[in-house]
Amino acid sequence: MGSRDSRRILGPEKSIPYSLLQTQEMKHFLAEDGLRWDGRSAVDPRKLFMSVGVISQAKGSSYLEVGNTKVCCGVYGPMDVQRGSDFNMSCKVLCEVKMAPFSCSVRKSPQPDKQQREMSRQLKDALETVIVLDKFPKSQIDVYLTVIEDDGGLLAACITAAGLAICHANIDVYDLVIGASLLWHDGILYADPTHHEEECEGHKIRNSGSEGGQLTVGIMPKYANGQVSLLVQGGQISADNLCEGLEVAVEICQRIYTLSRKTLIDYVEQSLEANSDSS
Amino acid sequence: MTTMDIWKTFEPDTYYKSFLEKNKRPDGRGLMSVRPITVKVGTITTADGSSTVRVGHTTVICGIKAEIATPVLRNPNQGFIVPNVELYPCCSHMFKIGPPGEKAMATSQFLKNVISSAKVLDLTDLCIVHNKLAWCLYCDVVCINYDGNLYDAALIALMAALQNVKLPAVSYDEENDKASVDIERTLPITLKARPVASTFTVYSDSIQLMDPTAEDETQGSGEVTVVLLENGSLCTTHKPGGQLILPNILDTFVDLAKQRVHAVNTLIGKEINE
Repeated sequence: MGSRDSRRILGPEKSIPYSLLQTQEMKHFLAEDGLRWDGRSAVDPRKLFMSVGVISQAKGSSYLEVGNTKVCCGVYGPMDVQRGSDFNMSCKVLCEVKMAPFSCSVRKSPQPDKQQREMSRQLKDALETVIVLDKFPKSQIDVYLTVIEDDGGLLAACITAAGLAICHANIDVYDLVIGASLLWHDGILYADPTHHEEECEGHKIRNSGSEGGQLTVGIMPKYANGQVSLLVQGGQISADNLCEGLEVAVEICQRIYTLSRKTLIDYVEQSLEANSDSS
Repeated sequence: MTTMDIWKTFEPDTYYKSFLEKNKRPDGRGLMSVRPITVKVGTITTADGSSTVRVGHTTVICGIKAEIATPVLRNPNQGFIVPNVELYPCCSHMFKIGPPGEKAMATSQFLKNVISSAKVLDLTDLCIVHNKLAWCLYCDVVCINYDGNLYDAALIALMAALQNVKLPAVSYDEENDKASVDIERTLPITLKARPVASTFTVYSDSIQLMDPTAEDETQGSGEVTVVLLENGSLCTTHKPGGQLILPNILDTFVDLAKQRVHAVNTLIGKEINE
């Protein structure tokens, strides 16, 4: 059963989620009228909400909602490196993604699992390309993400939230980094998949003919005509489809980029107004 | 940086003391006034019950997941309720990466004590089939922004989320030993009590503060939490060490807390009904 966590209040040794006891019905990806089960067409992204300055204790913070996926990011730093580690002429980036236990349909154990560790690592690598590391020698920047709800496109949402929070923290970056996620199922491209769609695709037994897979990209749209800072792909997709998917992803990122810039500019204007009111 | 910010960075103690001498706090509140509270329920679709609570800047989210478990032999007709508080480094620079620290463990234990001493929930209500199936409610409280007074916020979030939980009907087939769940028919759980906590910080023998922020807690020398039920009776007192106080000060705390109970419960009730 594994060691029992001695630092938390424990429930019974074994408990099963009640969703296993209910009759599962397979939802089809595309209904007859060409719409997905939540009313979108295959290439429509979900509604987005973003705001900055949600965590008063952090230097920079952001909150992002993509459909039902809710992610909160806090950035601390640049600050001195922990004692004992070597001085480095470029900055160290520490990134940690924590998923709340209630964020998935099956309760997640509070101990970090492989998915969280993998996402933390991928995000750290991506953010190291975004931040101008040479500007902060002998320092470290901590980026913490809390996933409040996971409804698909999680890594993409995390990248966008982290990018926003880092800009809000006044840390030098090459550009705002935006994430987008895509899914292929039976050869059709779906933009911004939900958790249910990702699971269906992941569990499908693939025979030789059909194509299916997932793609997550993190893109800096304006720097040097567009740079990819993160690309994670899984499944079985032909190279042409992959290129077509990348173009769709870049387009989605452009749209989110304009919204992110507007959020940051609105925030700066509001704080300038507040400062001029008080002084 | 303004001169006030410079003073605050280099000499936080004298900066803070200068406010207290005028019976005020840096955020403009009086010593015994509370911050505004916002409650929203049903915010998380993956959770069976959820609430988001803001006490000033302190933001706390409680999500309840219900799972089915076998009751223990000692209590064959009781379900389980498992509260846990998670303080991630995201919410404040005081917390580090890793397993739960002291503050998280203390708050989790506090919630567990309040639930059992106030008899908030009758655990036999959570039993589905005697000695075979029972509900286990995992209540996870996650702090998004830590600005002091975690105990109050966590308890309000837990109470609001418990009132938001809808458990699906479970039917048990004895012959085949099979259980099945119907998510179309859901029932809320009945709470027997609605405790409300009020936290105070003791700064010195003569100065006490209500509803402390993170700065108040760092500057102060000990916290006292009193938990009252709706009829005004005292359910839990929590004073983990810290500065000594006279009993009449504790009485003042209880009186101030009484005024708060009704306001908080009406606020939660209003949100649930919407």
